[in-house]
Amino acid sequence: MRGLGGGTRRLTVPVRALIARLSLFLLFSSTVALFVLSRAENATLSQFTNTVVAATAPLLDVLSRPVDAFHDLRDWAGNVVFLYDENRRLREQNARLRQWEAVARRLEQENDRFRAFLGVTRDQASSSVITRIIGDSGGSYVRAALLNGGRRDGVGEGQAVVGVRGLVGHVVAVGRHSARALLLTDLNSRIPVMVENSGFRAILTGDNSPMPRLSFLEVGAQLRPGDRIVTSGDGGLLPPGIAVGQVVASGAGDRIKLFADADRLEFVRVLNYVAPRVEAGVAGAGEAPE
Amino acid sequence: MNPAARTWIDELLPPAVPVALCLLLALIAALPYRIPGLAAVMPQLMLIAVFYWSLARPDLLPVLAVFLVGLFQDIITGGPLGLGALVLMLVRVLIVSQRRVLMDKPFVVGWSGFMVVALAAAVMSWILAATYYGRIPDPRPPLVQLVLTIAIYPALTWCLGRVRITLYR
Repeated sequence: MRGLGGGTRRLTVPVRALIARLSLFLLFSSTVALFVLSRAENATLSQFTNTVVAATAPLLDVLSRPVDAFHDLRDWAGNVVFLYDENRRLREQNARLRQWEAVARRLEQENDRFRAFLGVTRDQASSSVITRIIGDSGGSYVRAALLNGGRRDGVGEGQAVVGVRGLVGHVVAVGRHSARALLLTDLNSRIPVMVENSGFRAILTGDNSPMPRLSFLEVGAQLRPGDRIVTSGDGGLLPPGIAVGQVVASGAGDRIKLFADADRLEFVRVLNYVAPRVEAGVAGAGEAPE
Repeated sequence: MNPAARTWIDELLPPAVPVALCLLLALIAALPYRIPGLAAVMPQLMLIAVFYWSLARPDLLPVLAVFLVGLFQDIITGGPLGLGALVLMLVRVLIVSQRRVLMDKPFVVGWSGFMVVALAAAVMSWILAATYYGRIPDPRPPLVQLVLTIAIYPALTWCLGRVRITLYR
């Protein structure tokens, strides 16, 4: 009896060790499998990750509020200290902006007259959703932001994400109440853009550095430092004409200094843009565009 | 409280706190601090936590838990799925196997051990990321991240130590 009991005890230890090794092997294989699957952009996997992000979004929202409160307090303190200078600066800026407002109104009216004369239709105005940034990517190889708005708020995949000064990125994953936006600086970000003055097309390519570069610039294009880069609207996902950045000369080719400062933004707008489509049966639909 | 409920609490509650702490650290690392450039070099708080618990109380953070919290971090950061899980699990396995060497040594020994582990983890992550994205990522942000992670190690392990002593005696 005692021998039997001792025998079973001696058996279970190596069996337990085997099970431990097996489970370890299983876990390691799972990570490799996940690695491969996520590279292949498996749809079920994306849904799973979206669900997890969606579940954590409310928590991130709550946790990020103290950070924002701290920054608001800091700004308020700064404003109070430099109240007089700030006041004077704002007055001057106001006067300048009023002049620009008058110019803009005049140009708008002129524009409308030209459009009517040429029979050109106005671009469809796009609606937008204002969302809060509740998370950074936190990873060394990803430049992304988590947004506080999802499908319920009208956010959709591929939509442009815009800050006050310019384009920030575009939406890559949407849940019901949250979304992830890939920033322009990310390794995988590719945005069709054009040089504003000349109209030459290029692709704004991120490489995880603070200043993305232009790839596939049209043959014959000349870039000068200071040239404004805007979205071209090619591909139909992003609206044309959104400010992106300025060309700066650097050692290794031309880089784009982005207008928007994604690191400092608290609120962004997600643009719900629908590209104008050619409808079948309309006269002239057979002609190639442009 | 009946004995069955008590055993359930005794089985599940102890690992719950280190796991919850790791998840919380992942969230803290993901917050938008609105400091320019910080997101790219945010210290790897979870690496420190996994290192610490593997050394101090590996029974409280089993390999499955490390896998899950690593996966959670990958999902939150939006990086390659399984990269963090793989690196963290390797760290745990390594530390548990070397525990006898590192246990009950002065703090500096543990810190130096961590520096080596963190460097290895950074190199491995870099190689895996290069494989995943098909491009050679700029090594400078991960390098700064490594330095920051090593720098914040004493503070974080002190906090974790306090938690351990308070809860687990």
